[in-house]
Amino acid sequence: MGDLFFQIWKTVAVQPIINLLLVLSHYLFNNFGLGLIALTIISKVVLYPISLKQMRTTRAMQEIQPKLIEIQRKYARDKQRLAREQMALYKEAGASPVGCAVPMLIQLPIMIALYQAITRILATFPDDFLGLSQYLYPFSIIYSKLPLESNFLWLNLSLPDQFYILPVLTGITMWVQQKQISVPSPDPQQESQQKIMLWSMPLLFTYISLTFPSGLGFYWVLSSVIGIVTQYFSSGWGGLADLKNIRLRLPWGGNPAKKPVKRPAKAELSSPKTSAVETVNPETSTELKEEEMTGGTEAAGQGETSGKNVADSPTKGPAAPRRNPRKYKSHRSREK
Amino acid sequence: MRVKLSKIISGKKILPVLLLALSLFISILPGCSGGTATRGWSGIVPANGSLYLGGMDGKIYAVNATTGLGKWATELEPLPAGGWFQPSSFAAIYSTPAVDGSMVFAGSYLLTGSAERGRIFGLNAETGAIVWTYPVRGTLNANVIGSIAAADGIVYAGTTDNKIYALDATTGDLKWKAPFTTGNQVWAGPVVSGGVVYAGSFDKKLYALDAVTGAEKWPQPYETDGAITSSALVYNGTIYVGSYNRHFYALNAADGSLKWDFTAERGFWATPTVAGNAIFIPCLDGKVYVVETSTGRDLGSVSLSGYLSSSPTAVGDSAVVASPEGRLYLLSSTNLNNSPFTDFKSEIFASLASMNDTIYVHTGKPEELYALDITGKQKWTPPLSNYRRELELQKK
Repeated sequence: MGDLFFQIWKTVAVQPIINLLLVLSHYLFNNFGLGLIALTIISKVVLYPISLKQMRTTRAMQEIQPKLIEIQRKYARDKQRLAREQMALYKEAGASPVGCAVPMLIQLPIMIALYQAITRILATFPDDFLGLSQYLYPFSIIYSKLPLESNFLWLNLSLPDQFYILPVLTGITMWVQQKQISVPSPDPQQESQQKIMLWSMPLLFTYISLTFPSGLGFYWVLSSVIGIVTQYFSSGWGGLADLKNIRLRLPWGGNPAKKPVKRPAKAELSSPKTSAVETVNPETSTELKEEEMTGGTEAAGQGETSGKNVADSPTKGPAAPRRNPRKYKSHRSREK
Repeated sequence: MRVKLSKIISGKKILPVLLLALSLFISILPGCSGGTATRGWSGIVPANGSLYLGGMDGKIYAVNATTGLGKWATELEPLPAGGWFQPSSFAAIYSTPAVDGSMVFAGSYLLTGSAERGRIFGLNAETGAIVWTYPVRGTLNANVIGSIAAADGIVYAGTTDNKIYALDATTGDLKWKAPFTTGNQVWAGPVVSGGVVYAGSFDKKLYALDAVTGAEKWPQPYETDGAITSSALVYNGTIYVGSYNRHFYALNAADGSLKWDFTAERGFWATPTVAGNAIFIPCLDGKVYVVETSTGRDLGSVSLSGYLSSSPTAVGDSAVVASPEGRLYLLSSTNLNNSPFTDFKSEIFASLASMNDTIYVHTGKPEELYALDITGKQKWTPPLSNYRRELELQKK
């Protein structure tokens, strides 16, 4: 059984990657680094349907946030009903919290196969290079290229990065990507799980990059960067808009001693594009009142940052509506 | 079941699922490629009534060839203390040692993080004490993978920093003005014959160097179609060498001109051996090709199992060939029988050795040393595991 699995794994996953990498490197000036870049792009193209689904799921999750909050508020005391309603909403919207994690799970086998391909091609250990012969297709073009030059930029792709630049880049890009696709949840437990994921995954991969061949870390960085760009064109900065807001708040954030409190703008309940994060400013409560009376569209309309800012939706669930609306004001209004 | 699925889908269990997948990923990653396994495939050198070999634990062992009892064990590269913030280290011996007089010469393989830190050693053959190391301080910044050669008071070693070293056997000092530099890593052990050193490189070239000065002997090195990973065989004025690009070559030793060549289905890793009137050439395609020594005439081939990387040994007119799964085959030019005469059920990558009709086999996983005759009858109890236990007890 184990042998059969190994044979299937070898034939379906590792062998094609090894041979593709060799051919790509051959046509890209015999440069393994360039071959790896090309392979990453190809793998992203192949996985694009899955990524697209994930992006759509992320967007759908963002869009149903107001409804989720509403449901949470409505069924705060009936957990079973709450779960049922949430499920129904997810189904209706075609969204799922798992959707964001699925591409990562799908990429795991590819990463394992890629790791094996890199160590074998670059002869990290003599054993790997010896075993490589069993993975090669019978084309002269492939045999004549071995072993490939493993130096690329400052890296020896067959060994860990001795300057620790790549592990840091791996961690940063992975964090950015995780943050970008993270979807706020009204469920505090889910929210905290997401936070754990946001930090644990990049840290874990940073640690792996410290000890594994840098070719693998290089693939992760490339993969994350491409993922970030693709996601941006699909659904904007997503969870990263938080950071933009933090930056914007600093100059006009009111009393720094006061902890910022978030609540959804009225418009957020009707459209994700008009959702907004608002900062407490007790001095301008009357302005808010006026704004609310005019429909609160000003903040939503002006706020290009807040338009993407559904990720900032309240995470406190039912507690948010109990706050006094007079205490809230958009910093955009204050700018005026 | 439905409830469980819905819980997972609703995200309650997504974190444990992801963490489990990641843990699996991390545990599989090194496991699939043997990243955490012990490694090495040093061959055995019979000399002075002893057998010398490099163990997969990074030690050089001397074993009494008659009784099979361990004589000494010397660790070449003690591993630096590990830790969370220390780069992982890995020590092994891939290189087959060489013996010249009262000295044993060995090369080490040490990887610390991204740094290669191998060295070349001269040891007292009787006691195992390290007499010298090259370099004296620090390391080569490279590793030694191919076998060591020693002749006329000079030790030769190829290294992964593209160099071929010639060292004084007594002192470990450089004998040539500078190490000879090739265009890529040197995994194939140099071979010395008639005052000439023959060494192949990953740069696809086979070099012939003056053993004393290191000067090139041929007008130009012979360029093959692929990386040369195995030592050449020198026999009757002909150099026999295989490349990773599926070609096998017979060259004129005098000038490096091509006599004949042939193409197999996969590359060549093992060094061929001469037995009787034939050369036996194991290939990574699982076949042993047999050619006549005098004419290069094809005498046929036999399909064995697995990819053949262990160099065979000659016993009388026959060649003993090992498969990676642990089977031994006895082949002659007139009898290419693919029935094994013994099966260790343990992987064999190390070169075989023989002396006085006794065959010596170094297996891995589990690692052991065997002595047997051509009927497969073992001559003594395999000593390595017992000797290691004994050494552990002495240490305590």
